[in-house]
Amino acid sequence: VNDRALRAAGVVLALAGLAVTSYLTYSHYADDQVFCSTGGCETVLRSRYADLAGIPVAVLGLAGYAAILAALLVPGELASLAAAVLSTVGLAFGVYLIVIQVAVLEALCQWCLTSDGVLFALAVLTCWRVARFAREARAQPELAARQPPPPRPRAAP
Amino acid sequence: VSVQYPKSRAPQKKPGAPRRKPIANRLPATRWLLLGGVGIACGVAAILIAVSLLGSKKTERAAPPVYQTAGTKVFKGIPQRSQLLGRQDAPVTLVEYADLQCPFCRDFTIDTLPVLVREYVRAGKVRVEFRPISFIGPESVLGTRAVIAAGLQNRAWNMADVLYEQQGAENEGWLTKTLVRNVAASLPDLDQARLLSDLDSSTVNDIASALEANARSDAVNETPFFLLGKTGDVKTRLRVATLEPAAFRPAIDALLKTSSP
Repeated sequence: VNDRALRAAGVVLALAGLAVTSYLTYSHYADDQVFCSTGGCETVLRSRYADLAGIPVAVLGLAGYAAILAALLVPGELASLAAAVLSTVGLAFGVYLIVIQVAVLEALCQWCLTSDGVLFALAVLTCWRVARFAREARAQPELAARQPPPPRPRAAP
Repeated sequence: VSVQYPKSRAPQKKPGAPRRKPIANRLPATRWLLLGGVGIACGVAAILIAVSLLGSKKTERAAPPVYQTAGTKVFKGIPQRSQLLGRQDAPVTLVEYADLQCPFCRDFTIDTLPVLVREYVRAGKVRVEFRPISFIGPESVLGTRAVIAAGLQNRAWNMADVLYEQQGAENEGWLTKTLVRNVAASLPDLDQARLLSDLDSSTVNDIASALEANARSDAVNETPFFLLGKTGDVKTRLRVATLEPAAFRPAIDALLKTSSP
């Protein structure tokens, strides 16, 4: 799989995440009810865990996906590292929210779970890209030159 | 014999080579790169989780308001079914068309109805049917739907009573989903999640449309608008000079006399 294909897949995933969080953000500010087949969306989205320091988690997710999308669209290794860090942060926070849904709220929100799935795929994909870049970097001859030099030969008496 | 060593360990630049190496070559080895990234990610995630947990504790203290009203006592023990309050076999039925934003409807439910309930409804003589309609404006629509949705759980009157207690100026933003949500959470025996999911359901839509159609056929031109009659018979309009209980008693008593065996 070449890097271009990985980036394209990442962009599609980030757009999916943006769509989910846009819908949740809209329903939050419109004070509207979300479509829910799991039955627990309202419980989760109206819970005390749905805000982070006064900012709705849906808005944070929206900003996070926008940042991941931007990092995927920018070429280069540092941008790929940023995308991987952002996705991993999102995934870790998503796992925490799943634990809250199951253990504290005892309700599941299908939109949150969808977003968590997207974040998992994004984290795997972006970390894979970083690993590839790093492998390529190690394989470069210039980098090999940065290795410690061989032991100095002793001078002949 | 002496050996010549280079002055620097770094390789000598070739002529014509770019001044800066590619970024990849300046990054540390794979292991450190991944560990560093994971470390930063875990650190940020830990901060986010800590803020979320601390914030949730603060929010716990600022719980949503719980609405306790006189209606809880007034309707206690009286059977409710859909929009109906009172025994199903009560000989007389009083119908009220009302708008949740209408101040006179509020006065009737909060001041007059408890007296009529005590004298007639609790005794099984009269049953009262609440027909919410959206007469005044857009906020009335939400009120109508909330009462109908509560009616699906046989708590229409309790919902109406608490919403009337919170009534504000017409169409100035008092009747919100947040209010409905909090009222639903406050009412005992009412499933809040079910009410919220019923709020936009086709069942509530159909009932609201049917009630609007009834209001048109009954020529409702103001609220509150009352109909009175024997249960099962055609009801006729009850015109009252005031909303005091005394204004309702003569007509109800007269019907009860003709209904008694």
